[in-house]
Amino acid sequence: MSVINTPPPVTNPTDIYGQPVSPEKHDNYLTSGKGFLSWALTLDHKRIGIMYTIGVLGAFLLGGIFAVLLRTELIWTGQTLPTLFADTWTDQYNQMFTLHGAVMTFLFIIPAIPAIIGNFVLPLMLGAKDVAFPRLNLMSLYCWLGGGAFFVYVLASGGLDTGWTFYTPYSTTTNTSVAAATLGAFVLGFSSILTGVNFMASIHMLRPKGMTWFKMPLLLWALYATAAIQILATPVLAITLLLLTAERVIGVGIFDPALGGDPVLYQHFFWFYSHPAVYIMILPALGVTSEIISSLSRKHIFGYKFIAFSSLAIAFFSFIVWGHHMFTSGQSAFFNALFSLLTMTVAIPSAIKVFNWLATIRKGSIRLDTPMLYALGFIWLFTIGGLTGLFLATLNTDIHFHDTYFVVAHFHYVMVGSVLWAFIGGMYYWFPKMFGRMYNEFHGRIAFAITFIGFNLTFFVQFFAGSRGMPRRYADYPDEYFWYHFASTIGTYVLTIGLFYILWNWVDGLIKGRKAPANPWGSNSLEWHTPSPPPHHNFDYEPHGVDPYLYDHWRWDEAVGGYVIKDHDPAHDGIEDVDPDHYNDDPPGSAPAKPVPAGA
Amino acid sequence: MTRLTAPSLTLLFALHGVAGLAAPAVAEDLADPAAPAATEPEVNAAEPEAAEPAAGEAEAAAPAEIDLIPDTDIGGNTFLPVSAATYSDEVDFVFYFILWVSIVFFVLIGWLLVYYAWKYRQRDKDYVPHGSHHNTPLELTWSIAPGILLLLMFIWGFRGYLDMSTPPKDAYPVTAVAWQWSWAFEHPNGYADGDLHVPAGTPILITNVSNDVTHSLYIPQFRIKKDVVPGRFNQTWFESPFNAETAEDFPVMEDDGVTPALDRDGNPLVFTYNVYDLFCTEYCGRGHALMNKKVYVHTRESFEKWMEYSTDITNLTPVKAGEKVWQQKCASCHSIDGSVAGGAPTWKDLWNNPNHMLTTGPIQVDEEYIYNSIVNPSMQVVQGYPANGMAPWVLPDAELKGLYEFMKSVSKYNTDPIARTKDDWKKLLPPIEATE
Repeated sequence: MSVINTPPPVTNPTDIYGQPVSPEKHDNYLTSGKGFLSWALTLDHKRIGIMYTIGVLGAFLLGGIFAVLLRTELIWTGQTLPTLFADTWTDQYNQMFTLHGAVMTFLFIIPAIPAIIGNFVLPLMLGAKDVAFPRLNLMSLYCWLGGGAFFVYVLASGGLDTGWTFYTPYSTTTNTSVAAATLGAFVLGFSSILTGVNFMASIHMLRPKGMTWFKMPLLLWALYATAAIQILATPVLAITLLLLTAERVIGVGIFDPALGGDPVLYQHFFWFYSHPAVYIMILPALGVTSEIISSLSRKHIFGYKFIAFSSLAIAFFSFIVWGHHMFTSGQSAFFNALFSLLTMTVAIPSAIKVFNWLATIRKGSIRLDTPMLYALGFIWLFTIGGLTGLFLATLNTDIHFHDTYFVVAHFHYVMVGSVLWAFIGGMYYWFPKMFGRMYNEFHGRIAFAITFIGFNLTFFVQFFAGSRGMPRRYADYPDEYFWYHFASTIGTYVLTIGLFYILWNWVDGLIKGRKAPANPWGSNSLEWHTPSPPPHHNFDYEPHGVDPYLYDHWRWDEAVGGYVIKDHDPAHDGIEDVDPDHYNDDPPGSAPAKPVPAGA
Repeated sequence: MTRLTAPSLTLLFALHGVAGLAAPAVAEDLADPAAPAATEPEVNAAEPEAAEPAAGEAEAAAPAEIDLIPDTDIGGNTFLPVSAATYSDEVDFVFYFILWVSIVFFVLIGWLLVYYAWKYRQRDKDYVPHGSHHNTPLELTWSIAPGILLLLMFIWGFRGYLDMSTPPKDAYPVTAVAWQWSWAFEHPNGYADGDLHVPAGTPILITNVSNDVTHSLYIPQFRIKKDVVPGRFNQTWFESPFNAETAEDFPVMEDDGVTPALDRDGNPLVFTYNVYDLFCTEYCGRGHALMNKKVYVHTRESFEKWMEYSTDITNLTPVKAGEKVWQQKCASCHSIDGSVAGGAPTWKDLWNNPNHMLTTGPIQVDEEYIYNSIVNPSMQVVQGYPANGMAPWVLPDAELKGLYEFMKSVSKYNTDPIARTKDDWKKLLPPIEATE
């Protein structure tokens, strides 16, 4: 198959012209400083991204262990696992699903793409030396670590059994470490806000000469929309959790009816953040997918402006649909109808993206490498996740599906099937840029097949369990639902094997992978205009904005195992389109973006 | 309670939840210790009917209860449970509409995805395809066309929802009281049962009341769900037509499990009903998964017989009557397994306990003490417990007498005879001389 490439081994990193990087420039961001403090106190967005990678993957492992344990508990009816860390086995199960949800949500899936891929790639895409506020960036990493420390404390001090949603009045009456967990989520919220502020400022201030808003890579649009949600919604979560802690610790009556409060008020506050939070997770994933789809089809993205504005539309709608989590809570029929209708509108920008991706790959030159497999898998799973969302947006069907496994399956298709897929795909895509080495393509594809099968086996059956009435968060279940749970648990094991396979694939690539060229994919966004891994200061010259989805001026070079600039004139690179007539969305004579010196 | 096989099982499950026990502990407490199946969940999953013949005795039924949750046959097809309420067909219609729309879109998108990915796979690394990357009419088409379908879904969904949330005026009211971790369903005559018994073909108005945290009442076959929120009185309703095809006849037995119980006219007492499931779907802690009950949709005649039979507690033996009262009114706080998780003294080994200490000193646990503790709990406070931990209760005489017998039966200190036959009611409740 022509798409499997086995280029000759390359021993030296090469630049975008296919020339070996001169030895005095071998010093890249990974080697430019040594010792613990050069990492712990670094202001380099790339190093911060790498540290996030380690931490976030550690959190993913922790959350994953709970996932495997809780699925194992459910493989048969009755008690399956011995009671190890709680009073009873149902308590133990409750702790497992709570910690799985809380760790995965707050420590993994919210920071995964923005904090790892966003941190590493965003300044590079902007042709900048770093993010707008490098110190703030480091602080957000330490906020993340601090929040993570709270969760480790929770694990060590009696666990947590409220569900990741902390619904009152249960969360104010249970004797587990609710206060520590809410404080942890509070601190993690700051990490999220600081990252959002930083990204938004960077996109406004650091765009290079020639990069107008509509020449930004779509990932930047997605990160921009994400940042807006992070900044506007996260403070609401912080306030809510503080109120919860005040009620729990001091006895201030806010949500407890016995103290004059209302539990439904908590649900409103909570979902006012947590619904937009869903889009904090998915929007960057949509951006990553847009990048990979266009780049590995070697074809200009279809409907750039529609994709860009659909990200903003999703961000906007995300703030006005929270009530669909509460159709059964007793809020008025009028609100239910309003939230149902508003929720429907989210389907439209989501559908726009999917159709545009399909139009992009149509008649493309599709390179079926691992990142592309994940991007295509993303579209597949996101489509299922999105379509099943229709059942939940519609009022009378949601009354039936609310809080059943149907919901569980739906949000795992969106959170795992989509976000995790985009995250893994993005990691594969930028792996050469991050570490300067290539992963093993063959194993990458096999691992994709295993995870894809495992994921669908795990969660597709849950739709049927849920639509037939299986409630969620049940430690035990009627025999009626046995086969669904059994199949789902087997799927979990397959998925787990696939995920460890991917981890092995990455570690193997880090150690033994061949040296990566500057541009293995022939992409044209600015991060591919510098050697892999990038030097400490990102670029050796001042890059100019280009249309990130024009690939004409890159040619495949078998010797370097990647794409190099066709025209060896350095003055030509990165300044203007090779074929300006081919793509010109801007009206004639439109002014270039405000000239900000790159690397400033 | 043990006359009604299925209800008695569900009561037991609730008991497990309230007692806060792990399954093996339940098995030890309630099951015959010799029963070998008690430690093998798979075995029970494979043989769920093993204990059915012995349904007359709760103890005998216990080995099967390692499952904690009873068998259900939810009926229906691959996608949905059987539809058993007047408006559930409407829900199913909307469901299948969305399902078909989804299938069409998914097949279209999925097929294009795979087809394009293969057909246009890369053959030449240097080939850069050029084509249109911009088509506003096309964009508008695929933005607006799904919008029309979405609007249809919304309208049908909303209409169906209005039907679900608008109870008829003459509905039969039932109050569903939820607590950690069980339910009580109160009928207008004041009688409360652990399961939901309703007449068929009659609109039923459910008012949800929570005693502690948020729960949610869910009956899959009716497609209804409503949260039970503390401080709110959420209402929902349903009307379930009688389905003769799936109906069960349930001959009621005396406590011995053999003798048929008789109705007022001396005929064998038989209930006729459809059985559906009732789940708690809002996470509420340790016993959340165990808050399962059944919905019995009786024929009108059967419902009347059931109500008449159930409201008169003396249709049970005094011990069983006491157990039922405990289950419905006391068990959320007072355990019978020694646990004090409910925040109140356990009843295990309480009766006649020589070491029972009040704040004022030791006291003999007898009928007088128990009676005072029920009607005026703050008068005699057990050492180590709050003075105002319990509200005063007024119980009918039969319930009080039953409770005494039940408390005797769970205490190892008891030396009194326990009233275990229905005839004992004559001694416990001497007939009152009729006066004009």
